[in-house]
Amino acid sequence: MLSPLTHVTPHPQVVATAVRREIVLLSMATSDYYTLNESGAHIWRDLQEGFSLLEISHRLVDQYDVSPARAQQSLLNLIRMLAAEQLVLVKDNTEEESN
Amino acid sequence: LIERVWQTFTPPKSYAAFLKQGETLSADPQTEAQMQMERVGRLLVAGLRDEPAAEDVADFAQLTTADWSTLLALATSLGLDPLLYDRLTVNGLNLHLPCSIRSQLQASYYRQAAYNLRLYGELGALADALHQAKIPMIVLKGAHLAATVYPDIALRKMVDIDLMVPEPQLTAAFEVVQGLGYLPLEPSAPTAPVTTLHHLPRLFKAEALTGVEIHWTIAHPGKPYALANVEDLWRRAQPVQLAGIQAMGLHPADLLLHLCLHATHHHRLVQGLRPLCDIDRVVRCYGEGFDWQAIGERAQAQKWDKGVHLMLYLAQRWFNTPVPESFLQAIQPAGFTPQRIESALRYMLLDRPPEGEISGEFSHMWRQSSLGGKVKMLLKRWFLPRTTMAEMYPVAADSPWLWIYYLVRLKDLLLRYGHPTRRLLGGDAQTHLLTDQQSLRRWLSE
Repeated sequence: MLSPLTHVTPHPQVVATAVRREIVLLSMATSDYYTLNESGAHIWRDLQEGFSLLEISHRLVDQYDVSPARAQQSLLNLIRMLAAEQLVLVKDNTEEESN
Repeated sequence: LIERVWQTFTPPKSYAAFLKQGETLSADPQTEAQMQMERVGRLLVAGLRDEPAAEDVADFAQLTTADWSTLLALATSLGLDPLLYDRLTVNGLNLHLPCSIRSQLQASYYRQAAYNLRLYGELGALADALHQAKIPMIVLKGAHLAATVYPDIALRKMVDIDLMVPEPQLTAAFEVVQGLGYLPLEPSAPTAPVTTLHHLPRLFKAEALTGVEIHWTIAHPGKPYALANVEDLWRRAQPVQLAGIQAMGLHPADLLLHLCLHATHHHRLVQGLRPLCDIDRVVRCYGEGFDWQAIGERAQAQKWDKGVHLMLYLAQRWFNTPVPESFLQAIQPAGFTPQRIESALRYMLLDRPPEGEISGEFSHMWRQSSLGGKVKMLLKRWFLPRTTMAEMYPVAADSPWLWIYYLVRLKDLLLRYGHPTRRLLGGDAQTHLLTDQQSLRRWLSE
């Protein structure tokens, strides 16, 4: 179950390059490739830099003129898609945080 | 936010033929095919420019879908479709793009980004392995250019990975690369070609996208334009960051000279417009820091000046590359004429060299500007010195029967030159292209 406290990192088998304002992702495991648009690229860079989903959500609100709820929803939707394509590793930290 | 662009990964389309099999360009400049090629070629050059001229912008606005398709086909065949997409977008010319063409260009752009990502992954593994074996390495050509002088790696197509290592470590480098699974198509001793070639035979790996060429110098040894001192390249080489890989690259001035050499002396302009785009990018990135006089002196000292002048002249004229006029004037070689530029134009807009054979002598004779010049050359080829005749025919140089062999020589010349002459006089475009190609080759190698 994804939550703002879930720890998400780029999959080590995925390489990325910036093209214009977008990012192209390549899965070395499957050779499939993907593009992330400007805001998706923003999120990917934040994931690379180790920001938590909560922090990324706040940064999206600062960067784009969106409500916190919408930023969080968009972020979680993207992470679900990335996870489904095995482009990120998802580790649930909810338990650790509550302890 | 995310789009799955392509289901499976496929290498970029190899240079498809711009001209279909059997289709030829007419030598008559007034014919429709020739005019269409020149128009599309001119549009491609305009579309690739950093800053298109106002009249070019107007031309793009008037293109039909069929025109765009032809332009896309030419750009694709020359390996320039991602760069064209980028330039059109940056310069606002994409507003006129039909949706289908835009989609194709965009897909090609993303595909190339992914392809090059994979290729840099392979380069990273090679760099690590050579580093561990303590073998210094300079990354040459595409892999150097794509990550340094282009705005992003998607904009430069690559067909292989070119590395240079010190000649004494060539065998060790070969073994390291072989250890990563790259193998020659035919077994060969790694050092065998050192006296004749500037790199080992290309090595391939089944699961890799591309081949690897291990160089030990950048010019064919034994040629008049051979590199005098490869150590100078190593001394001037600079650290470069290539898509996250720490490596060494040629000094920008050496990079520029190498690109000119490679496009002209090595590939005789058959690589199309891509080398000019590379040169344009290199000059725009590093040109302000160039010591143009030193570049000219180095080009002349190594007998690369014809190729260097030709490429930089074309880059300046077609792409407005900021090459100083004084530099071009200083290194302008003898025999540089507008006709040569026209020949170069025809080659650079073709994706493959014309097929067939025309001798260098014949093309040289045909390209003599006057009929008198042609006749003079023919007579010179006919009435060879007696000693040369004695080497070519079974007759002694002082034999009284030697004159008979001048008649045999005439028959031989007619057999050799008669057929291409008829085709040239008949306006056969393929033969005209071959003649241009040979003429240019001859001039470059003189």
